[in-house]
Amino acid sequence: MTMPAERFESAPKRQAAMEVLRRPSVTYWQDVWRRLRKNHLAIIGLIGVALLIIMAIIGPYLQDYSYYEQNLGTGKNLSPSGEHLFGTDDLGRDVFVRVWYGARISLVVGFAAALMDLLIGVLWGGIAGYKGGRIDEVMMRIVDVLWGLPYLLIVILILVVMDDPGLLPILIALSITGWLNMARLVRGQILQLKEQEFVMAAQTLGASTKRLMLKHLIPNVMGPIIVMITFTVPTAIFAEAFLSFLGLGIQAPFASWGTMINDSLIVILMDDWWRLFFPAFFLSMTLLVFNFLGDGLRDALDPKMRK
Amino acid sequence: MLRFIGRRVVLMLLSLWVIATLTFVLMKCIPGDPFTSEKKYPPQTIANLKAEYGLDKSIPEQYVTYITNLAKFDLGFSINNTSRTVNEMLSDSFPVSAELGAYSVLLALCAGVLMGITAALWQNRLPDYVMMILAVIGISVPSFVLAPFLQKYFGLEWKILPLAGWGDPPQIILPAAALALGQVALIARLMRSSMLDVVTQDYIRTARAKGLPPWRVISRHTLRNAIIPVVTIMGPAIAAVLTGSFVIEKIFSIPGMGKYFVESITNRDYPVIMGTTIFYASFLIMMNLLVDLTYGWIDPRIKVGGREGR
Amino acid sequence: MGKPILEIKDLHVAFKTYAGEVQAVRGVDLQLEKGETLAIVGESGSGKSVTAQSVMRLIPSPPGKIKKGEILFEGKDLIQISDKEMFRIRGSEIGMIFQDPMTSLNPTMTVGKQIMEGLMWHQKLSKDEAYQRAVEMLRLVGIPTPEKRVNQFPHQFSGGMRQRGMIAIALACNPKILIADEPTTALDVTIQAQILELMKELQVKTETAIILITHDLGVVAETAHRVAVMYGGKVVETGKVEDIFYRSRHPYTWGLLGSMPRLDIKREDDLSPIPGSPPDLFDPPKGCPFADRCPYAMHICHDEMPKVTEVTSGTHQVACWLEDSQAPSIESRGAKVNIVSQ
Repeated sequence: MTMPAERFESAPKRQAAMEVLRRPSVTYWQDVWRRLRKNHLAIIGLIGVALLIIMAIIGPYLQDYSYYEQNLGTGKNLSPSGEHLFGTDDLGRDVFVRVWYGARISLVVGFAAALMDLLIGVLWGGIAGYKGGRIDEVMMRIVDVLWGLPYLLIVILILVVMDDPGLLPILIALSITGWLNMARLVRGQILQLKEQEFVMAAQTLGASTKRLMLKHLIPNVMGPIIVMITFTVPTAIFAEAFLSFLGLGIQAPFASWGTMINDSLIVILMDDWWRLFFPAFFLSMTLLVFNFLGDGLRDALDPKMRK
Repeated sequence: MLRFIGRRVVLMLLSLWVIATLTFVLMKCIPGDPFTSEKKYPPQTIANLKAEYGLDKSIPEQYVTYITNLAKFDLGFSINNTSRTVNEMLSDSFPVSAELGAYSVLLALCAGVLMGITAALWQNRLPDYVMMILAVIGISVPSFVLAPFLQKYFGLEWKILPLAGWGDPPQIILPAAALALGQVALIARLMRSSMLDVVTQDYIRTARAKGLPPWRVISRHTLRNAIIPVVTIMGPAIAAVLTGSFVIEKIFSIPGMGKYFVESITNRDYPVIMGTTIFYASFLIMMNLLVDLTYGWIDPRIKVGGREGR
Repeated sequence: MGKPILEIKDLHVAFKTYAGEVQAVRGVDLQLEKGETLAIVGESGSGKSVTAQSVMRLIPSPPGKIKKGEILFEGKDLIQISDKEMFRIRGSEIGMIFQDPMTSLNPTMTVGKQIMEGLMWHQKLSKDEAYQRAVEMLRLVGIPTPEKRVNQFPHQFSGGMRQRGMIAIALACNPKILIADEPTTALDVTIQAQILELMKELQVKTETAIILITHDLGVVAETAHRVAVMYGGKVVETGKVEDIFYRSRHPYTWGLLGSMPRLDIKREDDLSPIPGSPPDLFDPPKGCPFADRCPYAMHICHDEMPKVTEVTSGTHQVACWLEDSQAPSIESRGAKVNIVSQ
């Protein structure tokens, strides 16, 4: 078999074409967003959280009632109608307005807990992890001891002692105990990062502590911190509802989902299902959308999934 | 292994001491004392009562007495019901709560592990989606939200199970299910991700290379390794069931510790609150130790430390 | 030469990923004779591990899939037989050891039990018999005080001992073929030599045929009888170990030999790495996979896959256009071939 001779002439290497990357390069956060967008549940979570925030802000103004206004005459235990979208309770208060008022309380508690997580937890864990040695030992021992104690029990104890039910005591009690998870997470992450070559390289090049923290350490623990926070929010919302349900939290006339559920437990014997259903439904939905979002973020941020 | 246990016991005693001191300090923070809030006693009676309970001594002396009493498992007395000590109340109600809690934890463990295995084996197929959607719902619906609905449908509408109460075996089903649900969901999710992680490990490939059929690889290699992380969350799971029992016992009128605890909170019966808290805390810390020991037993890397080969 | 114990014909394996299908193995032909050691050499991504795992049907599926080809073991096509038959062959007829002994043993099971498992499953030995055999196996692979070691967990073994344990597991049922996938890569150099020595020794004792996957030509020189050089999912050259080291015909093999550290070459022409990187197997080249990096590439190399040429009939084969009668001789182009001249 013979072939044209020119086919056996020396051919220039096609090196240049090869060195070009075939797939477009994307930054870490672009990549995260791409994966998050593809995750339907995460998007449902994101939309759900947004809707919840909007309704918590405007919801109480959508009907001409206040959360405390009673109507003991003809307005008691009305079923949902155009007048009262979610019906009224046994004191004639509008459930729709009360539910969205409860959403405000839940969100305030949730975001306050997230803030505390950031302020105390990140700082505590960050310092322990960064300083290491003795300081780390002492700081983490404290966390370990507190960790061994049941979280809700401590919160209950603090609330009992404060003996002044309301939003502020709940926030204080939750803040005292809520940051432990975050401190552990951040410390672990920082310890791991400190061992890595790029941090050592930066140190060798004479980067200041501040620069090391801001440019190298914090951006790299951002992912896990965000994920942790999306789980802190529902945990705190649950805790508030739980405590209010026990009568340790928000008290009447203020409306919290936990209080409303507790007040309407009796309705399972009657047909006033709306009084239990709406606060129960929105509490569960809130926890659900935050969990969806958290799961989605965790999957999107997990470097192991990155291929 | 001994070192491991030793460390845990020290940490446990430390935690116990912290909670005991914390409750003491908090008790002292409450304005007034147990006798000022109640009926008006003549000053002499109050002085006598204070002397009887050692409240006339200095704070450090009281602290020493308190810790000594705790070490002797003496948790004090109830103010509202002076004829009963906290110990008596606990010994009546603890078995009830323990039974309910044990069934819940057992249910959570069995159902959660089974669901997790099912989801992992059929990854990204229908059983997986069903299990994981159930799990997310389970995590999102608090037990005190679920419980009234269970009561309404199973108890009132369909009349399959008793509405509330305690003593009859069927009466345990609804509260145990309500308590377990959230933990079932958490365990199922953890078991699933743990299984999926183990399946990609090199030693599973080794097992397959031996020619073992899939079910044998799963039963002998995958499960044993996948269950280790599940063991580690049993501590928090027990704690969650315990705190959950406060509301569940209230909703289902079960005469357990949780119900008394909630009542003592409502009545501001401080000694009972403190005593029960300490009891709960010690119980949980003990359970955590037990979980750690189980963990050490399941994972030989902890049981038989050290590398002799080197 | 008798009838080969294992024959791979035109094997194609692909992996599905989100970016497309990776053609990891693209038409591999190999034969393994009874009792010999065949080394498969190539850089990472050349398809050597995938080829080996295909023989065991251990390709993770999905995403992996054997697209085409035959793997004949004692006349049976391992790709076609039922799962049940495959379970019988795996471990008992063909054993396999893996690269990383630190992660390849089950951490929650004693080493002894991991050896016994295969014996009890394949040979239906009783627990006691299997236990005795496990102790024997550990002694055979040179583990001191095997009676004690048999009841220990992997974390109590050192790296080298774990690999010995892996070999014990793989050889427990006296397989006819042992596939060793980079068995020494994760080990210290001194331990590497011991493990290779052990494998050679055991091969003489048990007459097992070995497929040795490696990227280390030093390992090849020490242990193999025959060598197959893989590149870009294809076998580019096969031959006896002397053929490959002293009379190799493929520019990639020259490159491999040139990038191997040696003591006997002059300082100035030290190591000569192969420039460029392996072909993108998402979109494999239609010609020779090495053409882009080959200093002797011709137009035809980029367009058409070269046919296999028998250099020495039956033993030494090469797939390269330079073998074509129309190709100019390399020497005439002033090429540097001193790396292969001894």
